[in-house]
Amino acid sequence: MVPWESMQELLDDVIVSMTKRMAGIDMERTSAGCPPDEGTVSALITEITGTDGFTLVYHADNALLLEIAQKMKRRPVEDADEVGEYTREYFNIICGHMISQLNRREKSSLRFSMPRYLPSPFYKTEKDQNAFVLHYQTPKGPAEIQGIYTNK
Amino acid sequence: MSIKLMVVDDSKFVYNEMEFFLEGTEFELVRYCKSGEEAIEAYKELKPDLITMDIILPRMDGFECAKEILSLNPNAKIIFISSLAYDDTIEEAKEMGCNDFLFKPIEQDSLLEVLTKASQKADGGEEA
Repeated sequence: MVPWESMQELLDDVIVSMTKRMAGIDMERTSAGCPPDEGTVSALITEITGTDGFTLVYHADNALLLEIAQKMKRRPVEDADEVGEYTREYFNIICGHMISQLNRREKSSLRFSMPRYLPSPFYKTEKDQNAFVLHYQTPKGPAEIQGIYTNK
Repeated sequence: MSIKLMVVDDSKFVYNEMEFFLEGTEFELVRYCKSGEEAIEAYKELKPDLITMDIILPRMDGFECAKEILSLNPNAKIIFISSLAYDDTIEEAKEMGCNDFLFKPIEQDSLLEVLTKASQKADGGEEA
């Protein structure tokens, strides 16, 4: 199994650097207590398969996702579908970089599915499931990323 | 004379970036295709000088699409653009005869460098 610490470290590094690079937004890691509120958040989800199985779920305030989409498009987005389209690509790039680096570092052979966009929260964690969560604050609202070990 | 470029990617983001980065250059975006099937038909019709190709596409992936296009014209100039920086992926792209590989998110300098290099190669694969 890929060590959680290694995955968290890479994920944190990639998510912060890619959000800055693609959207010019600073993400500050917070220790806890900053989960996005229900009703104002959307989710981006991908399944990681190969030598291990994980689900990665990225929750973010809708204002943050809108800002990311608009920065990526370099002009205002037309509707919620466009927010989904651009932020799926944003998360796709984050996952691509994270998995590539993880495979090199851990000699693993992981792949990920094209991310899905859900205009609502996505909670999958069972009480005793192996999972981690990283919390962030940004000028446009909070975000969090959750890794859930599914073992395929 | 402009150099015709066809973009194959299921994300509008890449196309928008290309449009922005290539404005005022010698490269002309002649078609944006969201799938491999669409790209093969467009290639037959337009015969672009260069193609940029994503790897993960709906149904037919970028490698399959590139193989089809190379079977139509073994000298087609294809550059893969992906966030998948796996060593075996890069190796597969090289073995297939693709001209270069760029990682998402693309940067203007790298894009122009790679496109210029590919466009300067003669049909036999050598630099003109």
